[in-house]
Amino acid sequence: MKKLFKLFVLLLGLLSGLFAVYYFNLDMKLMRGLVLPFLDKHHDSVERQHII
Amino acid sequence: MVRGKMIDKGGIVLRDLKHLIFFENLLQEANNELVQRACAQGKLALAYNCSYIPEVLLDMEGSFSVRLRAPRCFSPDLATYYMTNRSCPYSRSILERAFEGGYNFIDALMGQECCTTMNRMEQYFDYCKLIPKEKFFISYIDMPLKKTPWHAGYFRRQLEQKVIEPLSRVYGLDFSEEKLLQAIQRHNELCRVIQQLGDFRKLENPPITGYEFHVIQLVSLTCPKELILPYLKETLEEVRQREPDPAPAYRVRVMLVGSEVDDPEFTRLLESCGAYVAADRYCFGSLPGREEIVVKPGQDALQAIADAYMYNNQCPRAMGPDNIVGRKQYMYALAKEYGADGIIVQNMKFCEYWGYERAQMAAWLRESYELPESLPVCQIERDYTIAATGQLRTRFQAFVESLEIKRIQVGN
Amino acid sequence: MWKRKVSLRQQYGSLGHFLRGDEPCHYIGQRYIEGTNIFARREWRGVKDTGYAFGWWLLTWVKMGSLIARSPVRMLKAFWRYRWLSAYLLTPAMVDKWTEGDRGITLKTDMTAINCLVSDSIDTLWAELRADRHFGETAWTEKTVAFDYTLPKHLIFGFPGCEAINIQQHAAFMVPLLRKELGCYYVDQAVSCGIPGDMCTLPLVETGVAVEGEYPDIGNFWMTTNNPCDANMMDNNAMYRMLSSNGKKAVHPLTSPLMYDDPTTKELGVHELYEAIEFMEQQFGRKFDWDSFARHCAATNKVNREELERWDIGATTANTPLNPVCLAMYRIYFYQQGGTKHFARSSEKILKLYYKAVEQNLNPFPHTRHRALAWSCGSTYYCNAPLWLYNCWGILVVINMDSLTGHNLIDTEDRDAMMEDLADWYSHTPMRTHTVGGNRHLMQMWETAEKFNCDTIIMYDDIGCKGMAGAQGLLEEEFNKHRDRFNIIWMPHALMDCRIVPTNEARKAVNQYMTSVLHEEPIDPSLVDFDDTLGW
Repeated sequence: MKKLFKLFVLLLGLLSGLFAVYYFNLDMKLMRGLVLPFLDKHHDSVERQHII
Repeated sequence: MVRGKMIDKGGIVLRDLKHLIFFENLLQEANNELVQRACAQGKLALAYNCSYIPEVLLDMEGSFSVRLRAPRCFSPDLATYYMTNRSCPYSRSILERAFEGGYNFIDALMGQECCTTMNRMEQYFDYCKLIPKEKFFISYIDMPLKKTPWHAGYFRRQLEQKVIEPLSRVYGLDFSEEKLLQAIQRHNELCRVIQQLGDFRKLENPPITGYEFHVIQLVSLTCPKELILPYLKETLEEVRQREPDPAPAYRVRVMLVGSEVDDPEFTRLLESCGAYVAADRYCFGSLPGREEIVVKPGQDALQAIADAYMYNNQCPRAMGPDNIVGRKQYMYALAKEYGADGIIVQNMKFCEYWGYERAQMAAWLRESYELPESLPVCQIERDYTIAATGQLRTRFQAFVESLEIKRIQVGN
Repeated sequence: MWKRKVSLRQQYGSLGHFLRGDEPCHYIGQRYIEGTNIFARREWRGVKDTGYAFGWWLLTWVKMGSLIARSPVRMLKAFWRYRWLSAYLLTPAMVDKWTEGDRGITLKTDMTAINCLVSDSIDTLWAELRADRHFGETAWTEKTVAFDYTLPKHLIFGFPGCEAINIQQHAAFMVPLLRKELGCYYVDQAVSCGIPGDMCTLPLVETGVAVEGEYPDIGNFWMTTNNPCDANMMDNNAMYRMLSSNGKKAVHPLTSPLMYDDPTTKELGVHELYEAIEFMEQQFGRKFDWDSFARHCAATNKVNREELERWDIGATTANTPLNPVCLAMYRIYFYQQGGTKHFARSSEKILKLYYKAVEQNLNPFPHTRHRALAWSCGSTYYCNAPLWLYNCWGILVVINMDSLTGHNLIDTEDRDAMMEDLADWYSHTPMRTHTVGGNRHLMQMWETAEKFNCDTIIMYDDIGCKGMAGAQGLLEEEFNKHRDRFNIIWMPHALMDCRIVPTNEARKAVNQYMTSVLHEEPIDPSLVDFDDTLGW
């Protein structure tokens, strides 16, 4: 019973955390602030041979 | 050998051709002297805009073809209202001239849906009721985008249904096999004259300028063939006898490629910068455009016409690797045949076909992709009328100099 | 630090409204991060709907995660190589944009439609990346081939076990939907090769992706097309070297007649299909499976029948639960993909929701003041403009031009009839059906507006479109004749390049009309004027 309760609390915590991410749009803020600039920097550094 | 008064034409000093001024005057109006004469004789004026329309079918007994131009159209204001200033200026200028009444003499317009902008322009002829003739009509062909025997057959059927049928029905024109063969013969006769004139351009020291040839090619497209041919034949003889300068007056030889160039002043401007326009691979040009139509044994005339106009055409809209690659190889072969040191690829502003093709052609010429070697290329985007001559002149002069330098380097 | 511009009390009025999420004005604009259209706080839609949206958000991330999990190394290499792939990390933001203001049955229906697109996109992305030679040949490489994205891939269903990828769909076309600045980036790459910058931006983006070498290298052939227009046809030429691997792959144009409803052109459409099938048979080394193909056509017919029912409901009632953005995107995506499992499943579900809305006489869009027809091609970087129109001004776009394509049913019994119907299908592409083959197609807007009981026409003005530019005067004159019957509002855009016509300019045009001509007050004042230049 105790284990179940602990599991329930854990899941509730996880769900709350995820909801916080959802509501505060932290996933997209992470993309905007970190992931996209990182990827863009890499792609900007790649030399491309423009072939038409 | 013709001697006489020598006229300096921008560095090229040759005796003036007897009929040149006459030809230049004919090009000032669509409804020129010869067109008026033919109309007065009761002939039907059948207009068209696109190289895919077989002019030979419009030059039947009782009719003549007129490829539409809009000379000196500097402010296509009304057309711009209808088509915006983001549309091809050629199409807008044609529409403007139509609004002005410049084409009131035409009896039919053979249209197409090959180029969207041109098609929109042609549809305005109907929507705005621009031609005040009761029997005037417009017909649109659906041109295939591939070149195979099946597609040639399809094109033939389109010509039957969209050109022959309405012209027979409305105007009673005779498109029997016999009449078609006669039309082909007349067409081929004109083509031979133009080809022979054009072949002089291959010479190291040609007796004809690019400008003069351009004027001649244009009158052959815009005037009744029957009436212009005698003048063209005379001109051919004259050029045969013409004595050029001891040494060529030009500095470099170029080929002009791209979309519509129906203003010979463009060629004159280019030649005034020291270039000789040896070959004309553009809409309104002779390469292609002035090949003879060959009727193979067992083939009927209409299929021969469909084959000629489909297979010979080098419009960038033709799809598939054979056509994409073939166009560049054809251009390269022409450049070599006519001794061009470099190629000027130009497109009319907002022309989607030639905007893309120009960029690709230039890249392939530089890289010699699918070509035996690279060739110098100059890219130009231009308006319908030559307004910004200063800018163009600068570009051309720079290109001419670069070709000269290359020649010297190769020589060394 | 984000701060509410409108207090909770002002917005919700009561706890009941807050818990239900049915406040009179959602004040959506206040949620954006300054200078963007990205939410600082996602929408609170009431307890039930927020929970529902949250659940879909979780599912979306799970699906995206599952794509990576299928082959983590391969997928990471793909992110490393393809700039455009980064846009798909913003899928949740796209969902946010496409469901702004949604409540109740609308939210449910839209999520069903979006989920279909997300699922299908994930399958498609996986299908092309698993076959991509850039990351090593696999058993799928030769069985997965490239079709031009405006060429519906239905023919591939005659070769079970093989896949066709509309190669520019995810790499080019959809990218500005998710991340608009990438549209600008690829336009610049194409223009740097010498192509004029005044061309339509859609083919420019496609070409830009090609010149950057960012299309997956799949299969041994590439099917091209002349659809939908001159510029798109020419971009096929421009992309030839990259998509044929410098001529190593076979390239086959499957063309369709422009004058498609001219009976004399029917034979061309049919011939092209047979020729394409023959080509594919040679490439795959096997015969076309007509039974398998007929089954796919039947599945596609089913979705089309359901769509026609939905249109009937949309035309004659106020019960349509699908919002205008999802309606349009679902339809255009379906045209490319056909009756695949995702579309088959979701279409049934969406129709059930439509029936529910009708049975219960629900009014999913209660702020509707004007029923609108959106005509001409809409933009990708502002594809959610119809939602803004509704949320800000109560203009509900009930149908748009590009949806009204590819809905003819295919005869699956008689082969000749099937091929004729298919040829019709192929020629009725989005951005083509109403813009080629004669101005009369363009003028179908009047009868369409009447049929859908519209009082407003939103005229999208793609300034790069030469086809529509040529018809401008015609449109203006026809508009003058119909101004007593319809409000006609021009909404400018540049299809894929947000720099040429920023989204704010489009909004300004509508705002001016609504205030100066109709003298109306906005439903959501926070949406009237805001800067989203730095957004997605």
